[in-house]
Amino acid sequence: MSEKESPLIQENDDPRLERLFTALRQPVPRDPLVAAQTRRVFLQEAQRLSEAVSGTQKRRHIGWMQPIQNLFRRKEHSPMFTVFSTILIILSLVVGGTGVSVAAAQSSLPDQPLYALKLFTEQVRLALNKDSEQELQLSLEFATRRVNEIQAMIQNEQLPPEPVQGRYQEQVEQAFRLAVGMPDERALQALEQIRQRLREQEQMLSHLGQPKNPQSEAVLLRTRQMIQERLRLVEEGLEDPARLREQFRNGMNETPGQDNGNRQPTGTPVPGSGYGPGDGDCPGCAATPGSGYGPGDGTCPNCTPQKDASGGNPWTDTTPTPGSGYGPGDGDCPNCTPQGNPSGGNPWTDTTPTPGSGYGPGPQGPSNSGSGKP
Amino acid sequence: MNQDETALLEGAQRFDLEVLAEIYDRYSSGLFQYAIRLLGEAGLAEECVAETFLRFLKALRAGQGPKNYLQAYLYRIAHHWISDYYRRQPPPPLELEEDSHVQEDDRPDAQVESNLLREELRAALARLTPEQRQVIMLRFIEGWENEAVAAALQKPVGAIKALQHRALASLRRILQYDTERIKNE
Repeated sequence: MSEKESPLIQENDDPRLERLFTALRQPVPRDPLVAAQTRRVFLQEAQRLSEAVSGTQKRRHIGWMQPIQNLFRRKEHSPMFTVFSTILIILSLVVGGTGVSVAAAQSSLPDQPLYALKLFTEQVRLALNKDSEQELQLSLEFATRRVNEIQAMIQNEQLPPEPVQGRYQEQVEQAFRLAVGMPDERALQALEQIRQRLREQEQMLSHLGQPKNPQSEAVLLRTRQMIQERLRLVEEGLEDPARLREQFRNGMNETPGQDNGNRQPTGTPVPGSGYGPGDGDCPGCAATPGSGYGPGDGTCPNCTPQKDASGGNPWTDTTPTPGSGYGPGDGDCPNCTPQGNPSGGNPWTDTTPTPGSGYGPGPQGPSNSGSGKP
Repeated sequence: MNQDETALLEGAQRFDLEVLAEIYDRYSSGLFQYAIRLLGEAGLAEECVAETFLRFLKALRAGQGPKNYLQAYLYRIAHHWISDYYRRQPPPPLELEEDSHVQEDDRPDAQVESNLLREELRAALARLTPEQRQVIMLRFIEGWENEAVAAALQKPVGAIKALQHRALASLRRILQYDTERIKNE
C-alpha cells in the first residue's frame, strides 16, 4: 500500500470531480519544528508507557505488596501527574482494558497520561493561529474543555485538580483580551460569543447533582461562581465595551471577585515583610518592631500584643505605612483579634490597603500567624 | 501484510522505541496531509496526528494494538478523530477566504483557484457520511487500492466498491446543489 498520488481513477470519469480531487491532492507544507515537537512528545509517551508495562509485569510476581511499594518508590518524570493518578491509570488499564484503550487524548482528564498531550496540542493550535478571531474561538473552545473536564471528574467522583480552574480562568481571560482588542462592532460580536459560551458552561455545571465529596462540591461552587462573575463582566462589556476595554488596558488582570478588598501579596514572603505564615511553635519569637512583627499563635506569653492607650494598634501610635510589615495573626490568638477602626472597616488602617503593602488582615487559619517568617 | 510491517508491529508491541520512532517517521507526514486535507488547518491537523499516535500507543499498552495493516489502522484512527471533530464543530459553509498556504513561487491566480477548489471539495466532503468520506479520501485522494481501503474500513472489497459508488453519487449531488445555491445568491 503506498501513499502515492493516484492517477485519474477509472471509477471516476467525472472531469469536474477529478479537478477537485487534483486540487486536494496538492501537499501542504508542514512546520518542521511542530512536527519534531510532536514526535518528541510521542516518544516520551512511548517511553513512559513502556515503563508502566514493566511495572505491571513485576507486580504480577511480587504480589499484593507491590502497588503499595510502588506508591512510595515510583518517581514520576512529569510534574503533571501525581503518583496516585498514575497508579489509578495503570490499574484502570490493567483491569478496565477495552473501553479505556480507545479513549482519545481529546477526552483525557487531568489525571490521565494523555492529558499532557491534550494541553500540548492546544498550545500548538494556539501558536499556529495568527488570526485573533480564530484565537478567540480556540480560547473559548479550550475553556469549554476545562469545564468538561471538571464536569467529568465530578461525575466520576474525582476531585478536579486546581490547575484546571486556573487554565479555565486564563483561557476565558484570553478570550476577553482578544475581544476588547477588536474594533467596536466586532468586539460586541465577540463578547456575545463569550456570553453564549459562558452560559453553555454554566448550564453544563448546573446539571450536575451535588457532589458527595465536599472538596469537589467546593470546586464546583467556585467554578460556577467564576463563570457567573465573568457573565456579569461580559454583560457590562456588552453595555459599555469602551469601559471594559479601558479596564483591560489598565491591566485589569484582577478577575471579578478578586478586585474587592485587601488581597494577599503574590510575591514570595520575605522575613520582615510582615506576611507569610509563621511557625507558631517558636517560643522565642517575640516580635520586635521592624522585624515583620505582629501577633503570633497565642501560645507565647511574651508576645501577646497589648493595645495602646487609644485602643488601637498596639505596635505603633501612628498610622501603619505600606511596607511596615505589621498586621494581624492567624485568628487563633484570643488577645490579638484585630479591632475595627471607628468606621468599622479595616482595623489596621483607615486608608485602603494596597497589595504588597504588608498590612491588612491575613487569611484566617493557623498557617498564617503573621509572625513575619516566610 | 508485508514482512516489513509485521516486523514493525512486533517491535511496537514490545514498545521498542526505535521501531516506534520508525513508525512515526514513516506515517506521520502522510497522516498530516490526510488530516489537513479534511480539516484545512495545520494546528488541527497536528493535533489529529499527535492523538492518532497516542491512541495507537494506548492501544498497544492495553494489548489491543493492530495485528496487521498498520497503515490502515492509523488512518482509521485519524479518520475517526476527524469525524468526531466534524460532529463537535461542523465546518463553516463554503465561502471565499484568504488561504495561508500560498507560496511565494506559486502563480497567485492558480493558487487562489486551487485553494477555492480545495475549500469547495472539503465543504462537500464534510457532508458525506464518515464512511463515504473515508472511501473517497483513501481511494481518490490518497490513491489506495480497494484492498487497502477495505482493510482501513474493515469491510469486504465488494462492500467498498458499493460504498465508493454511492459516495461519488452523493458527492456529485452535493456539489451540484452548492453550485445552484451560489448561482441563486
